[in-house]
Amino acid sequence: MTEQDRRHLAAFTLLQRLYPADFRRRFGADQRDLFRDQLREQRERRGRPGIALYWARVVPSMLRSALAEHVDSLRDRPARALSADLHPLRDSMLHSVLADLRFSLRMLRRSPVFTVVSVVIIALGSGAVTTTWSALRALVMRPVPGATQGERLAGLSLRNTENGREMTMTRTAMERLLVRNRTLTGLAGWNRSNATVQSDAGSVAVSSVQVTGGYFQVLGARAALGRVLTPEDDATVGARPVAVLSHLFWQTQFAGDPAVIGQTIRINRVALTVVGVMGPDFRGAMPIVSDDVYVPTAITTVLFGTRPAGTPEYVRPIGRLRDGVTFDDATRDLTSILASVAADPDERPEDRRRNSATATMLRAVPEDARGPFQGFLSILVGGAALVLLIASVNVASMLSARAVARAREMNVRRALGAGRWRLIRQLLIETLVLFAMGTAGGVGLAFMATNALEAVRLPVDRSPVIEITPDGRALLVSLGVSLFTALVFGLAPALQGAGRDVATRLRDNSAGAGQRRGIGGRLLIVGQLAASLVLLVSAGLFVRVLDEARRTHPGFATDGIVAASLLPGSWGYSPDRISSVLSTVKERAGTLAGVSDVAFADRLPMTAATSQASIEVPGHERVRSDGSVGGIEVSTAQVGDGYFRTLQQPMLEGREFTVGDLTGDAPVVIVNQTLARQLWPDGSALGRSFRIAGRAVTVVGVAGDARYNTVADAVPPVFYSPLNSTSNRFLVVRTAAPPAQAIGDLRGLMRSIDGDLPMPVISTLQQATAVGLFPQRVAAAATALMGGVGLLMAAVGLYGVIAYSVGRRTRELGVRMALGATRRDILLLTAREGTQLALAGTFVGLLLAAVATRFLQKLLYAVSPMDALTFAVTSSALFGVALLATWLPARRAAADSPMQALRTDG
Amino acid sequence: MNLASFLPLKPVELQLLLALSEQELHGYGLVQHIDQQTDGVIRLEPGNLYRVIKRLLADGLVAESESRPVPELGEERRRYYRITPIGSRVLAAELKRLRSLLASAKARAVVKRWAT
Repeated sequence: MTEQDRRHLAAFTLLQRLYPADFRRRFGADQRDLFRDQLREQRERRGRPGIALYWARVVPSMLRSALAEHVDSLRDRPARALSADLHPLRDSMLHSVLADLRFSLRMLRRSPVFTVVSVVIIALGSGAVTTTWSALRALVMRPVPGATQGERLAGLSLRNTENGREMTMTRTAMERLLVRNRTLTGLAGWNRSNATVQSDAGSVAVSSVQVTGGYFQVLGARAALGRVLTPEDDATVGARPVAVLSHLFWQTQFAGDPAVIGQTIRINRVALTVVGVMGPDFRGAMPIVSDDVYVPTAITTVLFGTRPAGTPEYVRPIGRLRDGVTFDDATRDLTSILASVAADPDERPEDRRRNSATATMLRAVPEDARGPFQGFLSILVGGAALVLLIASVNVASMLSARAVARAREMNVRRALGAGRWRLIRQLLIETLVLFAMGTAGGVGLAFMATNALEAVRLPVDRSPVIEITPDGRALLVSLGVSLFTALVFGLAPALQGAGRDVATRLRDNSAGAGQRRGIGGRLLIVGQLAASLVLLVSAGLFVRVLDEARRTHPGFATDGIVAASLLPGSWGYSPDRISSVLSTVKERAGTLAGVSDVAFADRLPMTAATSQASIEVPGHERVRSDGSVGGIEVSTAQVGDGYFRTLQQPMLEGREFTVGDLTGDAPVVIVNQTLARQLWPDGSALGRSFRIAGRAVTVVGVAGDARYNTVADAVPPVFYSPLNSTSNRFLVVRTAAPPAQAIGDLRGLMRSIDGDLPMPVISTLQQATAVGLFPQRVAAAATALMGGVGLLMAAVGLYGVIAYSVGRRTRELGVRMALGATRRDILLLTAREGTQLALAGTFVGLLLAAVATRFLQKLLYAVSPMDALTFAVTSSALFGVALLATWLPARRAAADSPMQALRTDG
Repeated sequence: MNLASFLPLKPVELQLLLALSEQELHGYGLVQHIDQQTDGVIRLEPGNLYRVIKRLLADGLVAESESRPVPELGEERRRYYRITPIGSRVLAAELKRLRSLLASAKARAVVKRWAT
């Protein structure tokens, strides 16, 4: 079964929940079988459209028969459970509800336009809520999937309270924690590296996770095939070359062949035996990035031979709480242990660097990145909720308009003896049916939207993988929200429709100017306009950020630069061979058509990839909390020769690094303008020196400022040192050739050097730097879409209100015209009401937006959340649209001739 | 057993019993069979099919057979259904009823005048 089929089946299984438990137990599996068979048939016969058509048949049929089954089971129950004399009452009640239901369906079918429009509107709103809520839940709320009792799993984030950095920890420090702690039942560590799997079909880049022996045990995960890794696998260095595959990797590379157990795979040219395959649910300790293979940490040095022997092994720790222990208890316990290790001079220096740990529930997004994710997604959920609100309001006003239109029908039914409750119930059932259909559509939309979101890949080495398929709780939330809105907004028109006494209502049909539409309808319009404005202002602010980003010069050229991410650590070469291959790559890249400059760098600017380092400069010491004196924290990057020329980042003083600087390990640095100004405000930085980790270096050049995080951030102080190791790096190429051709050439070059190397990710610098503003792009698009839909609905609502009120006043207007009022007078008179509503909506919207946009601040960078231009433009746009919606029906009223107007009876 | 109490059968029930009178079938087989027999007039999905089957099971007109592999689907197993002796008698009674209805002079006249 394909992944697609699985999703369809999951959706179908959710639908089945509608049935009584009895029925599900008996026929559930058979129903699913039939569903699968028919799905297959439709796909074979008609492809995607066939599947859509099939769903369109299945959903109503399931809804109908599930309802009928419930009715049957209710009918059977009283006979057994209730006393006999209650039975007839229950039965007649049931029958009348069913009759109402049938009548509702008939009424909805009789006005298909109304029904379809309402259902689509509700589906859009509830689909948006379900989608965004699912994403929020999957990423920052739910424990990691595939683990046993995931809510007891702790991710530890480590800090050095001196400089506040988040870090991994050495394996030995982790083992201290494991032995000494009193709050965890297990503790394990893991670390991720890029690796290459070689096979006859070619090489693929994989994400290899090195895990300590307790990893799977702590997570409580079992293998779907074979076994997981155990402490024995990790006991002796190099002793057991074994690997466990992730489900996805097994599917893509081994076509799901169960015979893979016991086979040999070659990772970084080292042969490992496959001992297990994980289940599809298991996604490791950090599910946002997908894992391919799991290997014991004990073979790390074998797989990644480029690391010098004796390099401490760093891992990210995860633990499982003991019963009755809270995350706070664990935090206190582990912090006290780390603090005592840090204070012990007998421990190795690298084991002493972390002195505090925070234990939080292990979730898809690691703790250090959760804040921004949560903020961003909350904004989207908020926006979606506003859209659902606007949608519900719109449907409510349509229902209310229908209630007025159906006043006659209601009166006749009341006159014939229907009770007030019965009429209200009838209208309520209609509303509920409408919202139920809308929500079902919304669920469908949510499934499509989350599928689309999951397919998004960023042009980076390990694009985040998100699994946000709506879960039961997300669906419940959506259902609850729609039900709530249905009841609140459905009840109002129902009461309005059935409230007054028969005599008034029967007379009501020939209304003159007297009865005006209730204050409720107006408030709804104002609310809709205001909510739309909040969304539009948000969209405007995000567009401003993107525009600002486009206009700010980043300090280097982004056009005509292509970057390839090389991961020599995963090539399985000796360090010498890596050096020679790297220089071949650079040399031959320089000869490609159109290429003018080539250089290496350990990171790309403006991709939010920065490292911090502490430097000691006389006169710039920082006093630590314990009174000792330390260096200052600055950003750092490593670049090769020709880097600044390639990126056209100007050298203000001095020179670039030369080949000699790189090979000779010369104690030279280049500082950026910001750092030069900060350290030596008067006089040149050239020839000055400072210390990095105790080693004195001399400034040989001052480079212009380039932005490192995102374009809208302030430029940090940066020093560049020569890139002289064999570590992972980017090859940056300045070329006059079209990007597609340049990328193709580079691919060919990599293939020609060694066909066994995995193909690196190659993109233009523009694509690579776009990742930094990805959240803003998504937010701008999402809020603009939601705001646009909201405004459209609000405008239609306003149009409806004005058209309705003009319609009711036709005769009055006729009289006025007959008495000498000009067309202009009539136009102004009728437009006044709408203008007032538009003004009120804009005003309230501005107030709300001023409050709401504060929450966006973190994503807005340099743009103020109160940006006057954005507020002015969006609110005038909204006001303009609202005026148009008013003006159209008003003009029609003014165009009527007085005689015509007087003759109408309504 | 009063066979008449089951009559008339709903069109779906009639088609379903007719299909099962020839051979045992699984859910998808039934759907395909009925689709062909009625030229797509009666289309069944998981929702309505199993509701009808449940009713017929409760009335004792059909019974569950064992689950077994379906040849066209490889190793996949499906639950088969069969018609019971009572089911067969009800089906026969219904067909007889329909035959006499079709044979009536009135029905013939209608067909002669209006059928194309």
